[in-house]
Amino acid sequence: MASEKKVVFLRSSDGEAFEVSEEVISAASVTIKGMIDEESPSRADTAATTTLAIPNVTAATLSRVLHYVNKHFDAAAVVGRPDDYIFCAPGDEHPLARFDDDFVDVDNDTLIDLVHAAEYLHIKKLFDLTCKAVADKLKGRTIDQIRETFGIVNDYTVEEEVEVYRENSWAF
Amino acid sequence: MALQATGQGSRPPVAAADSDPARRPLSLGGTGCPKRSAAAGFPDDAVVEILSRLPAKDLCRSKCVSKDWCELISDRLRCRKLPQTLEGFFYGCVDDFSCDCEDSHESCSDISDESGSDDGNEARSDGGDEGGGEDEGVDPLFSSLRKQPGIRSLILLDSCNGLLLFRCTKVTRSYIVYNPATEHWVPVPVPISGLWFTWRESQDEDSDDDERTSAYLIFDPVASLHFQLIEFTNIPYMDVVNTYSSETRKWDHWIREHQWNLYKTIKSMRRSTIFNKVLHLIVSPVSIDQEQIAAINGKGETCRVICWLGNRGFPIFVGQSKGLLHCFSVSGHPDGNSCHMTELSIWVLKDYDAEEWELKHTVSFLELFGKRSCKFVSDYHVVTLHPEYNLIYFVQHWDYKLVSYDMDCKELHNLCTVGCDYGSITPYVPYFSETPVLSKRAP
Repeated sequence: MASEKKVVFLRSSDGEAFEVSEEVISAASVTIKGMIDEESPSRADTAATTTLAIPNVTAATLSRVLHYVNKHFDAAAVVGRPDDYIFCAPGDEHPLARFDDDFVDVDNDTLIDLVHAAEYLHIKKLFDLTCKAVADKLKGRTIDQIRETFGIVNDYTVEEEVEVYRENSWAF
Repeated sequence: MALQATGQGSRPPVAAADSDPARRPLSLGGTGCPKRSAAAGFPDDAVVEILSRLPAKDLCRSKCVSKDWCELISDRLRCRKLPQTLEGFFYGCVDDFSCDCEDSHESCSDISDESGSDDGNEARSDGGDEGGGEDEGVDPLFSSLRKQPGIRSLILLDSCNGLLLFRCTKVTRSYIVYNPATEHWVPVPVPISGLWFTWRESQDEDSDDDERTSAYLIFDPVASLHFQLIEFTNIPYMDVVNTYSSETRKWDHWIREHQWNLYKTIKSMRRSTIFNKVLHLIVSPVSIDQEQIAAINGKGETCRVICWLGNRGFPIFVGQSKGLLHCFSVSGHPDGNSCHMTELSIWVLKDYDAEEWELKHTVSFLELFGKRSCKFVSDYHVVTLHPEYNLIYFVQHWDYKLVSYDMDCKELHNLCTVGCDYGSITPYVPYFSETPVLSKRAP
C-alpha cells in the first residue's frame, strides 16, 4: 500500500498545479486528507491521478506550504517515525528548528498568507509555527504598526480612542 | 449555598459612546457566539492563536488597535486560550457535607467584568440554592467534588490561576486541588514527617490547624502545568516546611531556620500572592524589626526578603496588579491607638530589583468606609486587587458586605453580602484548559 507512492495534484487559486505524494499530504493536512477520502471510492484501481482544487491558496503560498510539508515529512522519516509529525519550536536542538526559523523569516504579507493557508488546509504544526511568528512580530510594536501589519482600519472615534488608551495606559 | 451574580459596577464605564451596538453584555460561559472577523479577512481563530502568544502587556495594549480587537480580547470567556482575568470570588466554608446543603455556605460571586456594564451597582442577595448558575461556567456547589467518597468537610484555603486549594478534614485528611472550570481535581495526602506527625496526632481530632498551619498553592500554567504546595507548620519551638510537587508527587520536609516568625505571620491572616512564580508573603520579624515581604520559592526557601520601612505604615496586604507587586499599609496618628488606623496607603514596587516603592494612592478610612478608624481583620479584610484595573476588593466585617473601591474616582460599590459566617474568600481567575495532573476521578 505504502509502496505504491500515489501522487495527487493540488491546483492553486490562480490555476497552477502542484504534484505531491498522497502519503505526505494526507499526514500533514486534515483538509486534503478529507478530500482524498471522499474521492477514493471513485478512483479505486484506476491509474488516473487526482487533481484537487485549493481555491483559497495562491500558487506562491501553496509552493511554500508544500516545501514545508515535504521537508518535515522527510525529517520525520529519518527519525524513523513517519506517523509522528514532529513539531519543533524555533530554537530547539532539532534539525528542523533552523529550517522553521528561516521558513517564517519572510515579509508580513507572505507570513499572513501562510497563516491563512495553514488554517484552511488544517496543518496544525504550520499553523502554530506561523501564529507564533506573527506574535513575535507584534511584540513591542506600536498600535499603528500592528494595524498596518494586519490591514486593520482604526474604527475608534477620537473620544473612544482617548478613553481606550487611558484605560490601558499601564501597558504602554 | 448559592452562586451569586453581581453586577460589578465598580469599573469605570467604558468610553462615552452611549449606544454602541458592538458593546454587548458579556455572556458568561457562552460559546455559541457567531464568528466575526477581527482583522480584515483574518479568521478569529488565528487572531486568538496569535494573541494568546503575546505577553500580558502587549495583549492589553492591543485593545487599542480596533473595536473588534478590543471586544475579542475583552471577551476572555469566549477566547479561552487567552490568559484570563478576575471573574469572581469563592467564599464560605463547606462545614460538613453530611448536613443539608442549605447549611453550607460556599458561594461564588461573579463580577460581570470587561463589558462595561454601567448599571450593575446593586448586588443580588443570596438566593439560597436556586439558580445554581445556569449560565455561569462554574458550579459553586462543587457537586462533582462532593460526590466523591471520603470527602466530608472541605475548607477553602487558597486559589491560584484557576485552581483552588481545599483542606479536607475528618475521614480522609488531605489537601485537594480542584479546577472549578473543568471540575477536575486531585487529592494530595497530608504530609507525614516524624516529629510533626507525632505532634499533630497528639492534638485533638477536631483541633483547628489554622492557627499553626498555612498552605499555599503555586500554579502558573504559562511556565508549567504542574502545581506546587507549600505548607508551613509551627510546632512549638520549631517550624516545619513541607513542600509538594505534582511532578514528583511527593512531599519534602525540612526544619526552617528562623529568618522570620512563622507563628505571628500565620496569625496575622494577611493575604499572599504568587508573583513571578514565587510566593510573596508579608512576614513578621523574629525580633523587634519591621515587617518584611518574603519571596518564597516552590521548595519553601525564602529566596529574597524585600525590606519594608516603618515610615510607610504597617503592611496588611500584598498583591499584584498591572504586572507590578503592590503592598497596602495602614497608619494612624502618632498618638493614636496603634490598632486603630485611620488611613490606608497603596504602594507599588516600581522596580523589583532595586526595591523602589512608590506611593500610588492614599485614602482615609473616613472616606473609604465612613469610619474614622478601622482595625484590620476585625473591621475589614482586603480580598484582592484587580489584576488590571485600579480596584480593591474588601469585606466589611460590620455588615459582611463584599465591596469594591475604585482608586480613580474614589468610589465604593457594594457587590454582595457574604454573610457573617463566610469563612474564607478567595478571588477566582478561571483556567479552562486541562492539566494532566488533575482528573475527573481520584487516581
